[in-house]
Amino acid sequence: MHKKGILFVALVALLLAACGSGGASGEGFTFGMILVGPQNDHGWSQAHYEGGQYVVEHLPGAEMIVFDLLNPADKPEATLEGVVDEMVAQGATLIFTTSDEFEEDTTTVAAKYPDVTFVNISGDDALTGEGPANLSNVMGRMEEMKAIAGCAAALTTQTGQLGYVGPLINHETLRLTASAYLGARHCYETYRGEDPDDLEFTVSWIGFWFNIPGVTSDPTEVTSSFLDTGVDVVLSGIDTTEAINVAGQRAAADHAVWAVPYDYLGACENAPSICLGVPFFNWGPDYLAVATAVAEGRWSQSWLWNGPNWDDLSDLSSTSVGWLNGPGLSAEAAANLADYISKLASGEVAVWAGPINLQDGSAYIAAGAVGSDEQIWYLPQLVEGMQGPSQ
Amino acid sequence: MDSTQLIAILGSIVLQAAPLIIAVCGETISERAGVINLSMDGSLLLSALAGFVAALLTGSLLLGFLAAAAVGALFAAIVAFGSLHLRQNQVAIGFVLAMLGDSLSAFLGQSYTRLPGPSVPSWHIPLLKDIPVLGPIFFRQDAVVYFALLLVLVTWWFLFRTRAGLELRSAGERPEAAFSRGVAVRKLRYLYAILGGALVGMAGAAYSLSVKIGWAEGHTRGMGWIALAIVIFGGWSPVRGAIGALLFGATKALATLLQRSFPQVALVAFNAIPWLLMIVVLLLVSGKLAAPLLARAPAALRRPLRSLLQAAPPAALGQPLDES
Amino acid sequence: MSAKPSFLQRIWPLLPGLAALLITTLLLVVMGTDPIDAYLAMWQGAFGSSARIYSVLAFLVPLLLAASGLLLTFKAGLWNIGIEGQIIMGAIAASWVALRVQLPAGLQIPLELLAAMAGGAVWALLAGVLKTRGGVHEIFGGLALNNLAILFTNYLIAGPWQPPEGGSFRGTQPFGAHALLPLFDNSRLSLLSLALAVLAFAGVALLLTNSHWGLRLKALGQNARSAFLLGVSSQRELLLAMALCGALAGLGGGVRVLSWFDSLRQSISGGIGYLALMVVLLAGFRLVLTPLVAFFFSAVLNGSITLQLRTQLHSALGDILTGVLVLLVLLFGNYTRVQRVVLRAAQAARRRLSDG
Repeated sequence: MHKKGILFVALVALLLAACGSGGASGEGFTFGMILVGPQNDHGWSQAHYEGGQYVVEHLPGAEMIVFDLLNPADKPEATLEGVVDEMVAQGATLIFTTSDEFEEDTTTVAAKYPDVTFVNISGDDALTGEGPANLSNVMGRMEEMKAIAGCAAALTTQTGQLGYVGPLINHETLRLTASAYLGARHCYETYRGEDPDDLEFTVSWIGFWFNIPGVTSDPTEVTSSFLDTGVDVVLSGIDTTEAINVAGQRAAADHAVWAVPYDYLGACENAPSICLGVPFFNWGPDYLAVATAVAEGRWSQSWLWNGPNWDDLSDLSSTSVGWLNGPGLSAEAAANLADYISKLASGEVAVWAGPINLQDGSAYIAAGAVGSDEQIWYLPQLVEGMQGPSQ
Repeated sequence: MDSTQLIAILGSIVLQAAPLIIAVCGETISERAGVINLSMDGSLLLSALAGFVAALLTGSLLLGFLAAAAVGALFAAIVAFGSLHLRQNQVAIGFVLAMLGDSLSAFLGQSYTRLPGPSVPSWHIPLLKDIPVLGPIFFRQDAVVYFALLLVLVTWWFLFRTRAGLELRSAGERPEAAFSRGVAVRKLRYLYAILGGALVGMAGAAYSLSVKIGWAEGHTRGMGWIALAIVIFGGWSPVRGAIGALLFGATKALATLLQRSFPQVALVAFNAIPWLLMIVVLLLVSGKLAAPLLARAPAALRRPLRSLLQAAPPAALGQPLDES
Repeated sequence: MSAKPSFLQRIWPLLPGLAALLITTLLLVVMGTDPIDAYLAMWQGAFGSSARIYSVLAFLVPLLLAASGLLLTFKAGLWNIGIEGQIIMGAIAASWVALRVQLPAGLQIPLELLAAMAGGAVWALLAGVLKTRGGVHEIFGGLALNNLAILFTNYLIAGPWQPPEGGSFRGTQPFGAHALLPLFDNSRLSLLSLALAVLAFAGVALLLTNSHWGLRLKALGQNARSAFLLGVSSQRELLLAMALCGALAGLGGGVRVLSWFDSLRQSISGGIGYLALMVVLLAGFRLVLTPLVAFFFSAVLNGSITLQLRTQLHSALGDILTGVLVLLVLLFGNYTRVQRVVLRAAQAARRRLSDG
């Protein structure tokens, strides 16, 4: 049902990307950036904030209004609608609402302001037709980057046990977590010659995108618990950096443990020596394309799910998502990882190549087939072989 | 799970309980002298920030802990001044400070969010670390843990085995009698409230420099209230309080372990355990519920059970004393 | 003390306000923000347009409801810190009706609001019974119940009330239009809820000043022993005060889900109960001041959103301003007590000087 939509959107994306460059002017152009966490969280929200800054740098004259920590636990007096009211009053004609948490409210508010363009990150209301005409969705195609992260972990582990600190369970987190597992499985078998069924991959969901004391599980404790029970590489799927912090602390006490953070290019900084690398979002180029289109009055609705620049996964002017090797990755692992990346880039290896069964054992992707965009986006459960709850 | 893993988990519980133990000792000292410092939740947050920032800027962990202790002492001094000199309600002042400390830490900490920074290095105690089982659990930790363990013993010894401790307790139990015997009740209350507050501050730094390194908004939110409840559970004794903190840590660790194998919805049930436990434990400690239960216990067990379960607060807790 | 108030004594109540303003101004200067710009942004955020004023009033409704309820429990000498959980349980009960019950137009919303009051009252009674029967101090019973209410919300939105698209802790799906409070002029303000809040406050005021029950409650709050001598059954009075407070707080929670939001969400209250405690403390438990102070809090907090948008300063500045104000009023609000302390200190200093 969504297939045509995806094709159409991919076309629009190409067109947008094609006319995204050139000396556009943003004089008098104001856009809003609404973040669920703090703008300097070294994770999800900071990646968006810096994407907004990229727009300001490359669209001369453009101005950004930021509002961070918009969640009812931190700010009971603020609502998305109230913040948008204020941003529109200050002249914003484009507003990024950068969380899954804002999906419903963005659709409601977009109907209230038909002349303002809204971009909700990670939602699918523009794809399903639930959203009004002035609403787009943007998401980075992070799946392969997560597979690379899983691969780096599998190339490094000595105990054969990987732990994934997950946020909450929805389609997005299920498919990203499963991608990491599929990458880890592939590399454990291909490069280390081990039986992939021996690789233990456990997911622990904290209950939200980041830690809310008393409400979610504490990611510090979740990571400690992993490292106490035999896991030696932790992968983070949450918005913030607790996993690498705890692993760094353990490593400083001479434990052989590593971490793979998430979201933000600079996330390795928190414990460089044990950081295997980071799969990161680079929102700048996509945000610039949208902002330029709005500023020049030629924007049209789209649902973007943009992938990496396979020629250079860390080219910040072109790639929507990327991977950056960390200092903790050994030379041998780095060489194998580079091989895996080149095979993903050439299409020789696909992350979602069948046969893939769901966690309950039911067949999902047949042998010889490769998962469609729709199958991946709407993954209903974790995949077979992973430990941890699917619902 | 094998025994090494179990020992590793127990070690983590001890580490994560260490700041709570320090805070509980601090509050116990203060309440034993008659001053409730209800500001603990805000005080922990602001001192965690102060400790992290001071250590980050100066590069000295010691200065970090001192800065945090200063913040905690300041909060306690405000509570003490408000109640001992201005005769205002301790609970009200403490509550407002708890709120204010939270907002201040959010505002002032904005630019220090998630910065990598210094942390207390782990240091294994020679000889002791090689004791089977106990060694890896208690003696392959960092200075914060050793400080917490030592603090429990020192506080207990001071409160119950020294003359100064006796005077401290008399200020909280029978201030009029103590005053007439020449004990400077108000001065003592100031002293021990501020000392207790400084320890609470150090507990804040223990979080940001050891147990949950770094700073983020709401970093320790909720732990102050838990510590206050543990003081009651501990029957105003540092040893029992430390056991309470360890038990609390153990339930959380158990919840973290179990939740991996249950659906997401069950996460809620696991996270509810500490709070349900808090209600149950306070019910038992208060005696109203425990009394009928105790009456049914075998006579020989009644006394030890009662002293195990029940505890009464210092008689003059929170009450002012007119010394003029 | 002289019979005629001195100049200092007359301006005394204003001083905490000035001092609080001075402290926040200092913070602004340290942060490198022009204080005038900042206060102007806050003013405009609260009163700059009709939309902003509606928002201030909409946030005021649950705050005033909770604060009115707290006037009762404080009068009975109770620290009802569990009010946060009572707001949440009210929101949950209202959501249950909104999601699961379909009634004719005239009945739907009244039933939702009644359910909200019942939800809050039950949670408050629980804290009350824990105190009267179990001997658990209401501060700790209340805190535990607050956290349990938050977790119960999470259970519902991740479990039985999960939206059809599944996953996420975002909230339930939006309620049908028939289940939501009618909103005023494209804002989040429901005039009906505002009227109810004003009525509730008036009712509490009447109860406290003009009823025998109010008198007994006061006796109970001042001294449990004298209340006993008056023949007041303390348990019943305490529980009734708790239940009424919980009902009002629960109503506030219902208003949160039925107008401020349109669904049950995580952290539906987010600390409004604690704010209400601050309101009543700043008002010094005085009836007339309570709604004014609640309005002031709502204006400051709404203004701080605009402050953050314009200056990038954390909106917690609003909480700091109100928090410092409450602290200073608590500490130094009573002129005669402060005067006594100062006089004594001066005496002591003089004695020391003459001794030396």
